[in-house]
Amino acid sequence: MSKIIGRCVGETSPIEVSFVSKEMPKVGEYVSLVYDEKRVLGMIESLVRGSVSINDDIYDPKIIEKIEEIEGDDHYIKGTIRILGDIDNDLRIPRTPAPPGTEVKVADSNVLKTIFEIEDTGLKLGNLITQEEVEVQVDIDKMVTRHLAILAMTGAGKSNTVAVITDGLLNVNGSILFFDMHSEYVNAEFSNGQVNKINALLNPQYLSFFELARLADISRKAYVQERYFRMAYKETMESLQKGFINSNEFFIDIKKRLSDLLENESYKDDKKRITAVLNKMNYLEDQYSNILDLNAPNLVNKIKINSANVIDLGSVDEVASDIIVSHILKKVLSKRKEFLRTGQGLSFPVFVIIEEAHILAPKNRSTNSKNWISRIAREGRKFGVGLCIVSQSPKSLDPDSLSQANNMIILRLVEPTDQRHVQTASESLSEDLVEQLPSLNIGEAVVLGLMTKIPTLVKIDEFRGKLSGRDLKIVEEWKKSVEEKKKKLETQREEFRELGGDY
Amino acid sequence: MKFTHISDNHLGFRQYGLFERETDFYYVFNMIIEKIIEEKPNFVIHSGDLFEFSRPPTTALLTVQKGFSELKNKNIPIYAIAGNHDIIMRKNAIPPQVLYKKFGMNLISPNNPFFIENEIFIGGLQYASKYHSEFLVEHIKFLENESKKYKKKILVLHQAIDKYLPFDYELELADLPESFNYYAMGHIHQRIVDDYGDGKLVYPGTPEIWRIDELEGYKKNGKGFYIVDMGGDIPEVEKVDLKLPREIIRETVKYSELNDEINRIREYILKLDKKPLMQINIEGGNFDRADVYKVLKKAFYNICLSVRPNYKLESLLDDSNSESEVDELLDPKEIIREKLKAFNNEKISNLAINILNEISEGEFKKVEEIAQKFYEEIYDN
Repeated sequence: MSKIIGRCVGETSPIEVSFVSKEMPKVGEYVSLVYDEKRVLGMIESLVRGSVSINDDIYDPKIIEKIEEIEGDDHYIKGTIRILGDIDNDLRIPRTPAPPGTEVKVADSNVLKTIFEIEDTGLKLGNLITQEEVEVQVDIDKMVTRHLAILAMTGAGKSNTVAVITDGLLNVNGSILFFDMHSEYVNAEFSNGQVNKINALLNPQYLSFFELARLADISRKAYVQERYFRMAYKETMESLQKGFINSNEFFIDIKKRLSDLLENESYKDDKKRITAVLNKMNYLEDQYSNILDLNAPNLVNKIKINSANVIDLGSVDEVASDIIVSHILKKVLSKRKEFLRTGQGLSFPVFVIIEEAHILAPKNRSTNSKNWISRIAREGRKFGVGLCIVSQSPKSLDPDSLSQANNMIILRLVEPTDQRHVQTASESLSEDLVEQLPSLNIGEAVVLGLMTKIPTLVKIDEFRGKLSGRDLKIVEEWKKSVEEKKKKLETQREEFRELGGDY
Repeated sequence: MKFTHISDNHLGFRQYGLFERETDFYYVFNMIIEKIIEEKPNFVIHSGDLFEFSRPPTTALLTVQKGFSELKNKNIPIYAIAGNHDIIMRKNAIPPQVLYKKFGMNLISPNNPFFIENEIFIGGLQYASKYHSEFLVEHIKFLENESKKYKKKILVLHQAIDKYLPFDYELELADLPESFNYYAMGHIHQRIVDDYGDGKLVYPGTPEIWRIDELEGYKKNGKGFYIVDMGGDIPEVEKVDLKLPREIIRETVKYSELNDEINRIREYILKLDKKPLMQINIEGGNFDRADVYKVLKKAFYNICLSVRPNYKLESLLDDSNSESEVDELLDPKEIIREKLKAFNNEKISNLAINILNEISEGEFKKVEEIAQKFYEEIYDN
């Protein structure tokens, strides 16, 4: 039988009870209360320690010393328990509150094991922080359909968490699509599946007119420029499809058509604007020649099942990342819809992981990706496109997309605005749990949402494969660089002297 | 306080295997020495590539000995570095400049990195390849440090800087300190006078036409050296132009006007003191090369040192597309270039083309000379 750690006091409610204790329980620890012929599971949400005699009105440490001598460590421990549900009745919240005086016991680890074990569709995230012998699994089906947000400050273990989840999904033949902003996962190695590197190449012919216009920095407000660009673009696309020009001549042709417009007398009032468009075409070619490829295939066709499909955006700027991400998200969603309707298209569900989501879906700016991220957040459930938003700055993240993520893994978060933002986005995160966020250690997380039966504090497993985004050892790198330079210089000096330089 | 700055004489170079061209280079060198003596500078700076090879012909060595002795007699010291042509990357090899230490030459070398002349700091380094660029940069930093206590300072280098030769350089502008008053550069064959840091950066260029593509620069900027006055805050750079002994004529002539043009050019050539080098392009119309060659030979071969004809035929067809195709097919030079592309070496392609030119004109002796020169160049370095 488990240990009694305290008893309920004061007014209790069906969802929350206060208790006092003589033992020292831990925040986040699971407890059970037995009353009204029910076994009820709860979680300790807050704890305070106090002393009746040593109170705030004492201003002399010497007095405290004396009281200590007389009373010993006569402290009390008070806390609150959040009721999670009836253990024997599928964790339903009981209809009756616990009577004051009810014993509070540490929950039995066997009970917890049955709660955190999920058959068939489970993914092991880690172990309970408070009871390490209990493994925590989350429900993959619910995670993918109801989306996931992984939030943490830098260095708290985001990448590790993502890697653990990916490995777990690969174990069940999952298809994961990474937008890898820092080239972290390109060279990763997972134990359960392959990394399928997809080059971030866009074919201007597959881009929509608006995507291309945005890449060329022609804004929606510049409607005259847009009109001329559209004229040239349309004609070029037509002659391309008719085989009058080949794909390598795409830009040459657009530019030629613009130059023709420039010389056309009927457009002479708009010379400046046409020149602007022409300049922007040159800019487009210069700036994005590394991602524009007229022979690039449709990227969605390259997504494989049982693979971590990584789109490397490490060497691409933010505007281009935005275009690439929005383009692919749009295509993924439409190909999934097509498949469900006609049997053609993308034949398997995809879990999309978006790193640095606050850049692609920011709160105060409108980006192309933002529209598609929130669209997938809303519709993806029905079409088997899951979304995983990863961010270290929840406060600058688009709240719409964040609130659509019904599952959350929150690692250490210190910034108060970040915490509040997360709390407003998630109904199941109580203020007391929010208070826990700064005190989490690296790799420890609050896990909430439909993918787990009850909110829980988890120590996330350490990813066993290879990940290249580890922090560099800066001091060592500097030292190495200095030493290498010195050595190189020494060799060069020696060689220079030996080979005809000694006179 | 003034000095002269010269560079890139390439003495011992026998252009097109012509003995006369070797002599031309000596002639120009002697002319420079004469002019220097006229100008009476306090000293002379030479920025490398005095010789074409690290083992120059004896005549080249003697020419320099004579010239430098004259300067020594007039108490004009010389400060010099070795250029890439003077150096051979081999154990215990030293550049030929060392021979003139007794003739008033102060050789700036890795072991003697700088000299002080009349309170002017003169420091530098021989040519360093890209492979040794870190050493080069460090050495320049060292010179910058050493020069701190002097008011006037000159840096002597034989390097290409990225600003002027963006695809084939050893030194980046960023690695060149700004504290020197005069950057006495060598290596680039065009004349360059630029502002840099607290003073001037100067490439005097070659005083003779070392490669035919320098002709354009010669016509525009002349060739020669510089006289620099270090008296003021900023050095004053004065250009000295030389009249080259031999003309190089480059003409493009339409086939239809061939006879008139030949007469015009002949008249011009007959007025010259020395036989010129001539490169003549015949283009337009359809003609038999052998016939044109005969005409050219009769008109020019006695009055020119060397004639290099180039033919560009117009196709019978009007269609411009097929014209270029026919041209390509008919041009043996392009075919040779294409075939030798694998060597990725301009010199080898040129060798083959030059040999073809001479053989097709029956000049077997010249072929021998060309081949010999080619291998001399390889083995001498």
